[in-house]
Amino acid sequence: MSDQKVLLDVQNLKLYFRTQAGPVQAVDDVSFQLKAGHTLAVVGESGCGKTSLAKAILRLLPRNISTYTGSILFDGKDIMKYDDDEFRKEIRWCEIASVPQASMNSLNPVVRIEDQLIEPLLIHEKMSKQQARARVAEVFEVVGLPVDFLQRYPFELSGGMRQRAIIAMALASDPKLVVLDEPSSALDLLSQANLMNVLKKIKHEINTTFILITHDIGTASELADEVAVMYAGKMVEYASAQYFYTDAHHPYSQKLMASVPTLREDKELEFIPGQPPSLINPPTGCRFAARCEKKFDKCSMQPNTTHLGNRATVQCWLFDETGEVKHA
Amino acid sequence: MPSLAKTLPQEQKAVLRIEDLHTWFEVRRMGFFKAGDVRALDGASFELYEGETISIVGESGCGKSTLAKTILGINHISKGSIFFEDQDLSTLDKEGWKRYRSSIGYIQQDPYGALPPFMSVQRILEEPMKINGIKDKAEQKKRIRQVLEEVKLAPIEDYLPKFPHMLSGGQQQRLVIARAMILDPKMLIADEPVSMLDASVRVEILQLLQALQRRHNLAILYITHDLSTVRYFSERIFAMYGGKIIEKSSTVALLQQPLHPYTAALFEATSDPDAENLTTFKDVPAGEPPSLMNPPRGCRFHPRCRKIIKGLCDQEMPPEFWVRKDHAAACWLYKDKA
Amino acid sequence: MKATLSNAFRQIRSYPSAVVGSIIILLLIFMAIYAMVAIPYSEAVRLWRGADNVWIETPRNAAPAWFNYFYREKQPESIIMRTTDDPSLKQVVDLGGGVATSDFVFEFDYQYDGFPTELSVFFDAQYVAARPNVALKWIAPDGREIPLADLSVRTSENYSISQDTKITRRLGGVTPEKGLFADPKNPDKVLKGTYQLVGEGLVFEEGSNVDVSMVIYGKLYGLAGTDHRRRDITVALLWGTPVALAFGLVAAVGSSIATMFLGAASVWFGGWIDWLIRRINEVVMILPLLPILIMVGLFYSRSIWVILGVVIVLGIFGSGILSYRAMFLQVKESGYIDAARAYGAGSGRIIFRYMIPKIIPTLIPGFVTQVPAFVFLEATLAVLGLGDPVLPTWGKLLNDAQANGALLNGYFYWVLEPAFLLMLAGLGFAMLGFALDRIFNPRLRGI
Repeated sequence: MSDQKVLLDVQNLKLYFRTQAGPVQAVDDVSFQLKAGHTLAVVGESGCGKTSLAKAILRLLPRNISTYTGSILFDGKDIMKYDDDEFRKEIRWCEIASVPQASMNSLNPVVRIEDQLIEPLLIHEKMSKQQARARVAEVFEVVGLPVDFLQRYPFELSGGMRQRAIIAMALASDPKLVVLDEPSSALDLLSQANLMNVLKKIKHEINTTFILITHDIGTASELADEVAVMYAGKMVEYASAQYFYTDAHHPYSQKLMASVPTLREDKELEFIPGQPPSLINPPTGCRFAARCEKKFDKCSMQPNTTHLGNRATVQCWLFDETGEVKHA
Repeated sequence: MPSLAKTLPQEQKAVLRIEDLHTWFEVRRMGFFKAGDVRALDGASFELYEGETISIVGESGCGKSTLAKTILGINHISKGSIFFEDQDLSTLDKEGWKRYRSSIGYIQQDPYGALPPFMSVQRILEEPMKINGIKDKAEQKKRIRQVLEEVKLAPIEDYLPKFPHMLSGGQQQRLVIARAMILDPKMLIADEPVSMLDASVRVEILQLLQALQRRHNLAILYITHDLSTVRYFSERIFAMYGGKIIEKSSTVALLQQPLHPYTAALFEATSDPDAENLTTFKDVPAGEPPSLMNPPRGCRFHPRCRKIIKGLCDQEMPPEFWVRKDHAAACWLYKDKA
Repeated sequence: MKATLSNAFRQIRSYPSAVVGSIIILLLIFMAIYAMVAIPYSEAVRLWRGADNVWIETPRNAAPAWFNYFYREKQPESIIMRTTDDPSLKQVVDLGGGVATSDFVFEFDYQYDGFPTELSVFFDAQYVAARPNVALKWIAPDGREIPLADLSVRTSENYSISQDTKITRRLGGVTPEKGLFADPKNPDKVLKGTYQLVGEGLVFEEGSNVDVSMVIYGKLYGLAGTDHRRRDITVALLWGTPVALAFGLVAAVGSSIATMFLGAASVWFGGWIDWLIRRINEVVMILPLLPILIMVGLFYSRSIWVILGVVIVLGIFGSGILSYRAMFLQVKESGYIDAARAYGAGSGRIIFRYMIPKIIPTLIPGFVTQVPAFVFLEATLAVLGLGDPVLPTWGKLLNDAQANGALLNGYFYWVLEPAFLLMLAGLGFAMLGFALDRIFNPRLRGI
């Protein structure tokens, strides 16, 4: 899969919100590339900017935006140059679909599932009702729901089924990229596992590219080819999933992994003392420096982005291109 | 945090004994006509010993929170009894209830929701004392100082006038723990105490609970849906499904081999971070937990179970089979192994 | 909650509408306090009843005095002269034997373009048996002397020049208030200049005395004008403020707080209490408030306090209870309520200390916006003629104005003044209420 072309190329993306206390740097200078057919899991603690990153990519912005800059190349097109109308017509839903947080509760309870699912197809894809119905039935099977459930109302479905219906809705217009924000965290353990099975099947069979936003690294590992770690608005590490869980590079990623309890393996759990910095007036240097055990004088400057071969890209002064740790 | 799972305590005093406990909620149609019962908790028996932790795992609606609230006296008891230090709760007078309430601390899932948003930290901590007869101001002050120190909310003076929304999630949960500790309880009921917290804060809170447990020899009922935290925290694990405890085991034994097919499914569904996960599919049963108003005949899990014994599992409720000294399952598969 | 409230009040400053609303409300409160201090309750009632000829010296249906700023032709204000105020106006010459002359000259400068509305002279005489005698004469600026009347005055004599038909005849059919002031060359115009009302009096007894006052009733009066019964509208406007504020606030606060308690009790206890409260609510909801108030007013009492009581009682079980119930149902499920039950808090404590404080922030914008509704309700009843029988209120002014055809006769100030204050009160509370809603609600989305 590594010879796949780059589907999404994000460079220096910034998204700041205006608030009474000052601008909130929710996404600050984030760059990454995602290959077609791959799944990127964006992980981090609450308030680290992972949901804002998804919103910035989907351009689902609230009104209090103070800065929204950078470049997003999607399938070779510079979509930051699109105006809102073009973006809505040509990109959102058709090319990039999204499953927002808790969206399984966003289905209209008094409208049949089918009528809700064909709606975007009628609007965005200009399909006829007939075509749209056929297409929806098709994706319903993909997500593993019986087709006759299309005639039901949302309240007649369990949480896990509603979430799958929402994913079917996102897949219906055959998008190249699907952004999933905490798709399984509101579900019970078994429904969650079932949902991950479904997503994995879609990934293998349809070769859809996913961005999975989650705080649950265990669940993320079910789907992720790449893992991006966000901390206080910065993407501090972007790593191949193959190495990340056992061999994270950034000190924050290492600490984060050390705090994840495991069922099958006995390990010493650790926590990170202190709290993440405020995103209003964050520290000028590395944002993790105040909590980092490996901090040294250079950390008062914003670290460069270092590429460590195909293993990872890290924003930390401990690394250079050879991957060696220069300070212990 | 000790890296090895803890073992079952021997010959210890039971703080809490629960016998055949049922909590049913009446459902009424149009306010008057009885439509049926939601059997949220449908028969539970166990003993909780001094200084030990029992983890109760299960998915939402399995009855684990109902169990907690029934023990706390928030829900009524439909059938069965709770004994606190060998005294039946139904025989307690007002003073007895006060003593009982002072002996259990309650820690909830959502720390922000668990704290009245309009009260300062000081008032939040004073409330349980005022209600339970600790009226002396000096004593109140002393206890507040002590619990805040124990949960590491220092400097104390900075926190006292604050309101819950001024605290971070972790600090809020520590305040909830402080409130649970203020009456110097003998046991804690922790209902999903960390499931809404970030990973690193989660560890911090669990370690704090463990430290408190050791210092005060607390019995803890740790209720969670997340199997991965239980090994670090408990001596025994009970699994619940459809209002019933379906498996009781020491942590060590359960981690080696879950017996009940449902527990095994929970085990299978839990993902540890591992690149291997990308290529494997999870073998978990489809379907939904049963309706608690019309539970299925026989074993509550039989409609989803792949190892069903036709004519038995769908007819008769399985009793507890003690397969080993420290491991029992309510499942017909083990009827010959007990 | 203290933090929430103090925080909210800090935020108010950043909402212009809240600032304007607060200023308006403060202004009204200031007006209300001023009214109650300047005109005590009993005095207000006495003035409005109009007993003891308190309004005898004010003109009927006069417009506010400041209207002159907008008139090209200046209209007169009342001119009042009294010998008691200025004894030098009166000259008493003792003629011996108890007989004395008591003359007076009221000299005034009349520079208005409009004619006055009435002319009256009031005598206050002391005597035992023989009445004093006064001859009145009018001297125009051009020197014309017009004899008016020769009167034998009683203790309290009221001589209305403008109703004296003899003078009308003498002036050739023109009413005295016009004829006496008209320019002989141009009878439609006022002859401006210094006029004199001269009285030559004779008293016939030792110790007998006559005091005289002259009132030339203008067309303008005071800040707000007068009504058909010569009453100063300012009194009603001023006293209408505390009445309106008290009615609005007591009704809004009374019914919303009681509703809140009932909502909380309904949710907390559930069962038959909830059932009963909801059934009463359903009954009350279909009862029409206004017709009931009209019936109470017609058949029982028009006292504002009785009406207020009925409004509160019906308001308590009104639709508000449903929204409070909805909010409390959410609050009841909060973790902190479970926690409080776990450490043994009783029902009373949970309702008053745990459930209600959570709702108070929503209550505040709610009742601030409710106040004007009740203010208008009181005005509505008064307009319908069911106002309080003794208290002057804005609504009663409107009722009087309507009954006396104020708009037909061009007394629009009579309608506009109370209407303006009603709207001002509505605007003030609405502006503050809406801003408060915005301040308190983001926080409430969290429950």
